[in-house]
Amino acid sequence: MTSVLAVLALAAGAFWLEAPGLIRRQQFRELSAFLVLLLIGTVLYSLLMLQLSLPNPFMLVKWMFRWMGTAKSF
Amino acid sequence: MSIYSNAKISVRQFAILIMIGTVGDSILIMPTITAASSKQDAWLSMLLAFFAGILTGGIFAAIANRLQRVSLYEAIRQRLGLWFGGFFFLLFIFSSFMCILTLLSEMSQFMTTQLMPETPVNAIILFFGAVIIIAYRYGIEAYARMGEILFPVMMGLFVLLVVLLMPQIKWPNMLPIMARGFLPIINGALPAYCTGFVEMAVLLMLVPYVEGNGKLTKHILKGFIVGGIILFLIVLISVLVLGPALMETKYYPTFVLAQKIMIGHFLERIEAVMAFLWVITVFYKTLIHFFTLTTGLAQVFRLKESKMLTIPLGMILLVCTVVGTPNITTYNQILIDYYPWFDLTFFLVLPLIMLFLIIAVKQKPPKVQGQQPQGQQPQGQQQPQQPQKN
Amino acid sequence: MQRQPFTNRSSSNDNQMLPEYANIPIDPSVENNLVRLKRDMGGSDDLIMRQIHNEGINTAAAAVVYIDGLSNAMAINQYIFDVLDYSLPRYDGEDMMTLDAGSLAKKLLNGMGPVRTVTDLGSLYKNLLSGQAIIMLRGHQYAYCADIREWKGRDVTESTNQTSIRGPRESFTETLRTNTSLIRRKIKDPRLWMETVTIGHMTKTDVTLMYINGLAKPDVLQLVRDRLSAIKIDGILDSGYIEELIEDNKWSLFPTIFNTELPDNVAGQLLEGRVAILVEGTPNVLIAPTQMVTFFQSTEDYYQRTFYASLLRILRFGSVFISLLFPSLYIAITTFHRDMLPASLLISLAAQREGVPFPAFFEALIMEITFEILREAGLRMPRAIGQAVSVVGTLVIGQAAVEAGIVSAAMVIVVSITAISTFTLPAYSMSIPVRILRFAFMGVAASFGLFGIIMGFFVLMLHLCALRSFGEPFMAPLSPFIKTDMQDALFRLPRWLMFKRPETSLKTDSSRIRKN
Repeated sequence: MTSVLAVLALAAGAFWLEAPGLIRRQQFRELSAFLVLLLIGTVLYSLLMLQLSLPNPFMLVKWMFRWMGTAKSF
Repeated sequence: MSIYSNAKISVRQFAILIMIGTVGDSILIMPTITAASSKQDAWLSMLLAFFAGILTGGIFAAIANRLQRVSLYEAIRQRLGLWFGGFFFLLFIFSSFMCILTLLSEMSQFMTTQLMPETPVNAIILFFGAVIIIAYRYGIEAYARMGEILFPVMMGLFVLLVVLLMPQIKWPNMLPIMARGFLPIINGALPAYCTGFVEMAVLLMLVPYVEGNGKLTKHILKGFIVGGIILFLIVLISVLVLGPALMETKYYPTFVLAQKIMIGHFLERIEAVMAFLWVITVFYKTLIHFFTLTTGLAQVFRLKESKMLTIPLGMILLVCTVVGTPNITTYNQILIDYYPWFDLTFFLVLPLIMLFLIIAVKQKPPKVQGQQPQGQQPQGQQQPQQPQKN
Repeated sequence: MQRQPFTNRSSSNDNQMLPEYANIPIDPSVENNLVRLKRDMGGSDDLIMRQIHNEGINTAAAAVVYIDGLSNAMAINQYIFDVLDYSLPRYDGEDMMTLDAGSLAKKLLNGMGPVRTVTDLGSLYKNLLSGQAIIMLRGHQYAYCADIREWKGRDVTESTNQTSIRGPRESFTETLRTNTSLIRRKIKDPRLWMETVTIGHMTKTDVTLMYINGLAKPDVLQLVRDRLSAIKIDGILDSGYIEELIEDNKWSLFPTIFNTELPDNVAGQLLEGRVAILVEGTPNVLIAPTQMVTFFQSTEDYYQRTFYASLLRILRFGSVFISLLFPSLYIAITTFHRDMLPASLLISLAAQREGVPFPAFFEALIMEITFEILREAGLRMPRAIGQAVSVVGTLVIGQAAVEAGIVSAAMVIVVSITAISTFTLPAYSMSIPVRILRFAFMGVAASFGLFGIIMGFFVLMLHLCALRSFGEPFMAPLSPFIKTDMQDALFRLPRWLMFKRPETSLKTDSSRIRKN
């Protein structure tokens, strides 16, 4: 639980660091991109901290080239 | 660092960045991986990869020269339009993302198993990621200059490593040469080629920031050649000093090499000094890929700034790294068997398509003012010499 | 030292006079002026006013005003007062009114040396309070000031902060004119130019720019001028104020403007195309732009033989590394990487640390903080007690701490070596960031060991590489790598091999050694 709080603190820190500048410069498109990515990152990180099993990105690679078998069989 | 900043790096700094990026993580893991297939001929694998890498460097140089300091995304968008161009470019960025995952996981595995076993993996990745983000936020000028300063240090350490190991070379370790035929050598060359040379396709993202307007062929090739020589020597020394059996079983042969250095019973165990070398190379390769990812994303979404994306992207990368490496064996299996094809597809085929696009397709009228027009230039393409036996 | 209020920067040049005195004309009546002066200065008794009356006329014909202590009273008597006293009666009456001010000045006052006209009250005050004698004549809208300044200042002596074994020992003083003359004596070329501005509403400090025209880059010069003129502040008491107000990187720990007390240092840098900023009232002269390697160069390097100088310079670089990293390396190795030490050393270290209750990090922290306290205290101590306290500090505290088991002996050695290597740096302003960063490195080493130190070193290098000093990259000539400049960076090539001037100078005159 504390680790999730730490993640949220990190996200809040990132927000506090970046958002005022973006708002001041009226870069709302950039702000929205930032918030979207921050949301994804926070959610993923919290899920990780809660030790839920997340899909392995390398499985994507494996799936993409599953027809290769093993490269040893050249 | 906004996309339109006028930071410029010199051609020398560009070449150095490429060189360090080529060495990258290969210096850590390639001896094992090449030896897995070709045993004592690992050095031949590396040599083969080296030559293939030079040719690939030529391809990248061809693209870079034709870009004329326009950003890669702009060049693609002008030819493929907003949606197709964006998608195409996103593929490129996606592979950069995956590459960062491999780099981070290798670095964290190395640190955890060899240097700092008691530190949790998350903390190491977090710390490393933080420094990458700081480096990115300082701007390309800063880390290019740092690379220029660290370059002689790196070379010095490398020469030191090689020289200090000379007394321990056992030439019979190299024999018999090509005992198992040519096929295993090619098998071993593939991952080396991909990890060392093909993954450096991201140098194309650095091109807009290089000063001047001249051709970059010489500098790109310089970086590849010097990086390739370093890798070749590392593999060669590993074979000669450790022997194929040891190379295959140990995960980080270069580290073992450094541990073996003995000077008169007092300068032992200086592997941590050598770790400095590897940290530099892995750091820079990760940085260049992170640069590709962040700046590329900002370009695709037409953002004016890219600095704010760094922290969220860092978080996502960390999570994916930790998730992607439950243990070393699964990671290694994927890395050796499947990842080279991934590299080839995204970092070689895509650039080839880009080259074709840049040469053959006339650009659409630019939507942004001030783009340099590019005409059609009929020039011969360079085909990579890759043995395609399937 | 109270904090000076600092208003927003603006690019106006209007920092010379307090608003209420500017543009107030000088009264033609001498008495009115004197009354006004006395009132404005609150009757301060160092304001000396002497009037000259002509026979038969009530109003004063002229007056001489000066500040006692700032002016040479005898010269005033001899050259100003006596002359006026003698000459004025011949011009009095109607003549004085009709005589053109300029020619009167020429006639009467030329014997007194350079004389300037003062057009309003503001500049009158500035000149008066700088020590000039003010001469007011009846019926004239202008006053005149004669440069007759003299005050007690410090002699040109040896520098206490920057000692040299071989080479000139003169150091700057607090008087601007003395300082500029010291530099003039070194460079006797008409192309050595200087420009003076006044900065600070209340202190009205004279700040002089010196540079060699043709060697200094015009953009840098213009940048310095612009930044100086943008300063709006109450007072400048030392060049440090100016340094803070014009530097490129306000938040960085590292100085990007060099300062020195030695004229030969300044002259050498002027010959390399840099700009010197001299401030009245302080012996510290600023030099811009600067590079990282400048802080590692000492003037002696250039007077001693090449081999020795190069070795010393390499030693300095090594010392900075030691000073920065030695405690952190100790912490990292004893905490994370014990297997890196040879077995015998490991055993003795372990034996020493046996009774110490703290982890290595806290041990190091305690000792370093103690040493910083000792050092600060040593700076301010009266000389009589200084010796005793240093003995107390080093021997007693160090030894007692070891014997009490609070720290280990190795730690004392580490701290001492670290502290001493800090002093090899010739430039004090560079040793400050090193001292501060040492603690940061200790913290990182305690968390992440050698990996942490390497990463911390990266961050440090990134920061240094991102710094610019007035537009020039701070880390030149290391990066961007300038081959010819490397002749003087990490080592020093022999004099007969150093053909070219550094990149900081203009290209038009880039060779030092001429064939003819």
